[in-house]
Amino acid sequence: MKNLFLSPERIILRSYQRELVFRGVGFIVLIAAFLQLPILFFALTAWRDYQAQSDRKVQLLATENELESKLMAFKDTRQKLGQIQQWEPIIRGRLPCGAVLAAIEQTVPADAVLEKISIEAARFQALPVVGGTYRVPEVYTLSLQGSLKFGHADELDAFTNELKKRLPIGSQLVRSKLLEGTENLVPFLLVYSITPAGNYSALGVQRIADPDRL
Amino acid sequence: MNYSFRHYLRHFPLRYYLSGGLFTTSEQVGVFFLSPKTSSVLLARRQRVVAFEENIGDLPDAPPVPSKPEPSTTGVRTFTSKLLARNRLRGKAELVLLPDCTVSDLYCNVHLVPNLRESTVEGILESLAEEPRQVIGVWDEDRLFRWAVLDAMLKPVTGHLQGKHSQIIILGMPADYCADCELWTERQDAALLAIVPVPVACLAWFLKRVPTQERTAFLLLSLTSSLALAVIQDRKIILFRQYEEDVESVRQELAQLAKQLSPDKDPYVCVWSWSSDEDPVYSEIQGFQLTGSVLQQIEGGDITIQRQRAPSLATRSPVALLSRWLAQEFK
Repeated sequence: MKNLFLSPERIILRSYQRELVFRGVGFIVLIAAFLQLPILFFALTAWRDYQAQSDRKVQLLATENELESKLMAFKDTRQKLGQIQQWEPIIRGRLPCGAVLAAIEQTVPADAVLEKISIEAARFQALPVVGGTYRVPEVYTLSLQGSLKFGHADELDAFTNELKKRLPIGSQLVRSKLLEGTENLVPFLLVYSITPAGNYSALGVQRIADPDRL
Repeated sequence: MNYSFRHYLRHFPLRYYLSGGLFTTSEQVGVFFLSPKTSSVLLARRQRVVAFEENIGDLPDAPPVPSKPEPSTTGVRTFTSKLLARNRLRGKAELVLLPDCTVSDLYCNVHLVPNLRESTVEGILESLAEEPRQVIGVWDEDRLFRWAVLDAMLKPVTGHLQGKHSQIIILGMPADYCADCELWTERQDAALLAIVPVPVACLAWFLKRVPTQERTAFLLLSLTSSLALAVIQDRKIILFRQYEEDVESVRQELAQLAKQLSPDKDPYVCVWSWSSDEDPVYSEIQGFQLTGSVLQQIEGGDITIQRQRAPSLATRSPVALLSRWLAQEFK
């Protein structure tokens, strides 16, 4: 009389709870599910990380689009700035000759007479600019010829060093020589190699501002 | 039953397993006698009766009783959990419900197999579910019924009937009541083993426990709301009838049946009553009374309930003895 007047569904559900076979299967299923927990945990964590990264990516893309749309308004300005920046090596390669002459004037000894000052550009580099190319010198050669009063030849070293300090950083003394002269005067020749670096603070030229890095 | 792994996984009893059901082995059986007049419960654990409580019908969350509206009062704890706690028991319970139905709430009849149109039990059950008139002829119930087919010895039968059985017993109970019982049991977190109408339980007990030799036995069941008469021949039920407490007509019919079925000998009439007190049926029907000391002899003694910190209780109530026998049968 077991199961009398019970619905088949109810009998099956009761079997799942009570019968040894189903309880054994249930035990295996529960153990298997328990073993899956760490994997599920890591999968869940990875999935959440992936979701967070995706959300961040979408946010960044939106920001990028927003910035790009803002930058569109500055397109002409950027173009002009680009053109100006093309001139940067040209301007940097120029030597302020007035400042160099002022430095010579301020450092030349009182017992010396300068006969010839020459500044020559060399090693030209062709730089493209709007409308053609521009030849920019990489090195300048400063030559000084003059004479010192007899008995004051030792002042040449002081003059050489003082002038070198005033010249732009990286300038090198190429030649310093006393020549044979007359009874009262001792001629000399000084040759400097100046590499333009854009920094002429030693010459007393002040920088207006840092260049725009756009 | 159609079992499948997918169905099992879909209805995986996770809560039951995790609440200890996965490893639970020893469970207690509760047998509920349910009638509108009185309800009782017998609780057995490992072949030992732990408790027998009467008049439980009006308690909160009591089991559904046939022909009685279900009480709406339900507490925080279920009826079964309180019952187990009262008797210091733990774990899950298995329940057997014995509804004492009215005549209209129970269909029970013996049918001769050659007279049936269907030759298989499955066919009979299908026809009964579609239209009971196809099988049992007269049927004027509007309610849906659940049906069961047993052989003449009240054992379950399946498959072909021809050549194996000369008669079968068809049982029917209102589907609503059965569903109520199932829902109530589910709420109790217990397992329902069966819903056995009281006459069927009595007949099964009688067939198994009362020796009738080769005589034709007439068993009269005095139930709370009806009378039932069964005729047993060669330990097989050959006739079953229900009456609405009209003892006189039962007595007359019993006399006719006795003359018809047992003409040579004195009829062997047995009377079983649900009541422990003197039943008027005993005086009106001349027969062997299955009560008191007779029941004690058949069952091998009274039911003794050992109680902690209290003297033991003994009972020979027919309902308690029937419930104990069923609890042992279902364990």
